[in-house]
Amino acid sequence: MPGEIYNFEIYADDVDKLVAFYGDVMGWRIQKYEGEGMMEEMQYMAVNPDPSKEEGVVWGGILKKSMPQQSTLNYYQAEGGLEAFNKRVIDKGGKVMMEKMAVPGFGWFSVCIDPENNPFAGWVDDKNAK
Amino acid sequence: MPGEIVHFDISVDDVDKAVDFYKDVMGWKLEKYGGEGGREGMGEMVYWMVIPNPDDEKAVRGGIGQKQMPQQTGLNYYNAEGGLEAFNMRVKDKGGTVMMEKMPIPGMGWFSVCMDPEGNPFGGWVTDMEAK
Repeated sequence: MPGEIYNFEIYADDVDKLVAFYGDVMGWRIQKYEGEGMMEEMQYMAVNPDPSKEEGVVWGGILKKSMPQQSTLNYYQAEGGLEAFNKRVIDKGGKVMMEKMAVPGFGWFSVCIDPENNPFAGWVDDKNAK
Repeated sequence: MPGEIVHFDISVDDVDKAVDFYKDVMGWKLEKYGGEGGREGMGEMVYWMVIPNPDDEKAVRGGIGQKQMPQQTGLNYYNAEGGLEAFNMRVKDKGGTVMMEKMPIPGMGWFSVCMDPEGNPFGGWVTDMEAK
């Protein structure tokens, strides 16, 4: 459904420390994600809040910061595709920080900020993305 | 299910502008809850409920609200396993900070606001129709 949250990400200086913290506090099952095209330096840990469900549950990630100001980022289903989504962001006074990028085998995303500099991301499912 | 995201909040200075922005960008349906013209009992803080999927009662909702502190950013709320007291205690035991202890959203539930050991904010949530 357009506009629904697809994924959340939490950014860390010390990924192991936050994995231990959230694992205990939330009861999350957290596993290293080593998908195709994933850069090792991101240290991406995939969060699955409900291992009993394959679908209908929002996943998350804990990963290494690439910029000091990074905190949390939500991905939302982009209505009409990412080009249209990014264009709406710009037209309405936001900014596109990162244009369309692939997560191979999963889909495409872009990273944006709203007019008050709050970050968010657009997402489009596509098993053929690469 | 414990640990599942139940709600996301976006905090801004100019709520009307943000509502206009996100409505167009995301296609969200929004309803005013807090502030003038909002729902009864929801308080003075200007707050719009974000309903991305009006056809699904269980779909994750969000909110766009007036900043209460300049440094406030967005945060996600997760189902707190074992109740908020136990949740908040785990946060402290593991090196996080509880910024706001248990607070009610009348008719919906209880929340707390916390920070992880690196200062990232998040919230705990317990659904409770009797909350007030």
